[in-house]
Amino acid sequence: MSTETMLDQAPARELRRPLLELRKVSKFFGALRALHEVDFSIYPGEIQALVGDNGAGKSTLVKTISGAHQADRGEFFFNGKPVSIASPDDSFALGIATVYQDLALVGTRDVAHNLFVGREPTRWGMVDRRRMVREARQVIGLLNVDIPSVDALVSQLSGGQRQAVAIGRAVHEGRSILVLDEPTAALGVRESHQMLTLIETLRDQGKAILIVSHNLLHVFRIADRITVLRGGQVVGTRRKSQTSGDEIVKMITGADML
Amino acid sequence: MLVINLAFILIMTRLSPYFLYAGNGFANFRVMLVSMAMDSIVLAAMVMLLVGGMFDLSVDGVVNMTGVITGALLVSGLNVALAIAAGVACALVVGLINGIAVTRLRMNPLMTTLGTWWVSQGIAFGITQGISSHTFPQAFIDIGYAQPLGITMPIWYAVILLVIAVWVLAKTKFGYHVYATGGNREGARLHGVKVDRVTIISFVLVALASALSGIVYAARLNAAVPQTVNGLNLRVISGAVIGGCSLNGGEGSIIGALLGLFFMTMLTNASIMLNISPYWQMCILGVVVLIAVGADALAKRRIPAA
Repeated sequence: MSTETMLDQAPARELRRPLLELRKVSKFFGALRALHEVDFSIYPGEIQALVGDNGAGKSTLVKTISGAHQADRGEFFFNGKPVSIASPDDSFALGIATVYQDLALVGTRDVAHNLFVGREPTRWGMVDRRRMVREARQVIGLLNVDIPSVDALVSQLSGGQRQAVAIGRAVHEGRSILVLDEPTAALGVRESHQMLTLIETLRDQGKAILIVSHNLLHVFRIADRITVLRGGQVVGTRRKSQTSGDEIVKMITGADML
Repeated sequence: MLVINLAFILIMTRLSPYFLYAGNGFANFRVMLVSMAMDSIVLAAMVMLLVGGMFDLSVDGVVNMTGVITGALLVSGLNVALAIAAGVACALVVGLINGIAVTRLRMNPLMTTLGTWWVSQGIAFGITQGISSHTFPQAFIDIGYAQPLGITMPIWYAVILLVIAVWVLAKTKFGYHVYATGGNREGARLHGVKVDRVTIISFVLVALASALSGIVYAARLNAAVPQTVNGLNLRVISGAVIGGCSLNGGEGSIIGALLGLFFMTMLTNASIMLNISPYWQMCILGVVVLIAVGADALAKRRIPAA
């Protein structure tokens, strides 16, 4: 079945207005087409999963939303208003926070600084270290994770603790949208469970969440809607209640559905 | 490092009382301090660059070029301020070239600054044609020799620049961004740190510090010699690395680097005091640098990087 007919099968348009909407977004790396006319929406109070095989364009789409890459073509709408996301600062200004797959932490710096890299609070032209430490303790406390101290160097933390620092940072600065690229990839079973519960809590607080994951088990546990990417194109979007693991796998791999 | 330095002073004092205090009131130690102060002018900026994950070999060329350009203009009769401005402007250009080449053009910092080292050193040789300019106006000589409050100028420059560098690195947003850039360049960029700007500014600061160094050398020698400094770049970088700066970036402090430089300075001085042939000094310094870098690498292997 062709991509076009699958798009026709996409569920009826939501009546609610999406918080962030991408229309016909394309991205090229030289001659390589990483994203092709991607239409994509994120709604408040929903967990939107993005799945697809390696090289399908998931990370590129994430980085386009977070401002790390600039889209070559297409439009962005935030709350219905046209916006441009040309840099991480633009994304931050819209209240979008991203946790990258490699976490983008600075190992040689402590937890407190890592929660604020690029947005260090200042006072009288100097970094307000006290405020940084105070807010860092609050963030870590909120997440209910076991981090020895906000003075600990990130290079000395475990994988799960590092993940918590990266999420903590995003929760702290993501006022409207949280983008999580493979949030459970580096975690054990128990830590993954905690992470998924945390993501659901954040959704229930009204945040819009975009989660990229290879783990369909996790996706089916928490996602409200699932969008499949293949070869840089959107194959389709399904409500979780109206689809099955089989269908999603077929959409990912491109196997014939009949 | 502090302990090693103190132990070194103790041992050397036992071997030769002249090392620390004998003779004309700490004479030898004062010589070391002034020599260190001259190096510290460049060190203050170089530490910032190293912490940001870069390094600059072109320092020697820039020091010599600035001195020679300023000196030649002074001798041709230009007023002191303009001659200095011209020298500083040329250094600024080299700093900008270094910074832009390694960021926007993604050129390798080693080859880039090696290239600009050759170019600026070549300019110094080309302008002088082997004949040094000398005998400068008193106003210029004072830049190197005045003694406000009885303390010689190089020490003033060093102390002021080092204090500023400590403050910038430890307290300002720019300093935090330097550490973040050096620790994880791509990660810092993703979080909105202007990593290219951080790097370009750091290269420019090293070039400006080198320019000041070149001018102070010319003033103190009352002559602009195209080979005034030779090996300053390696001395400063080695001192900083021995003192805890990582060549991978993200780590290091001014105080640590200063202690490392102090050790290098004492080592050179001690080898003179102990009548070690100057022909062997380089060899000794090289061995010490190798040991320091080796120890650093060993320590790294134990702590996995983030």
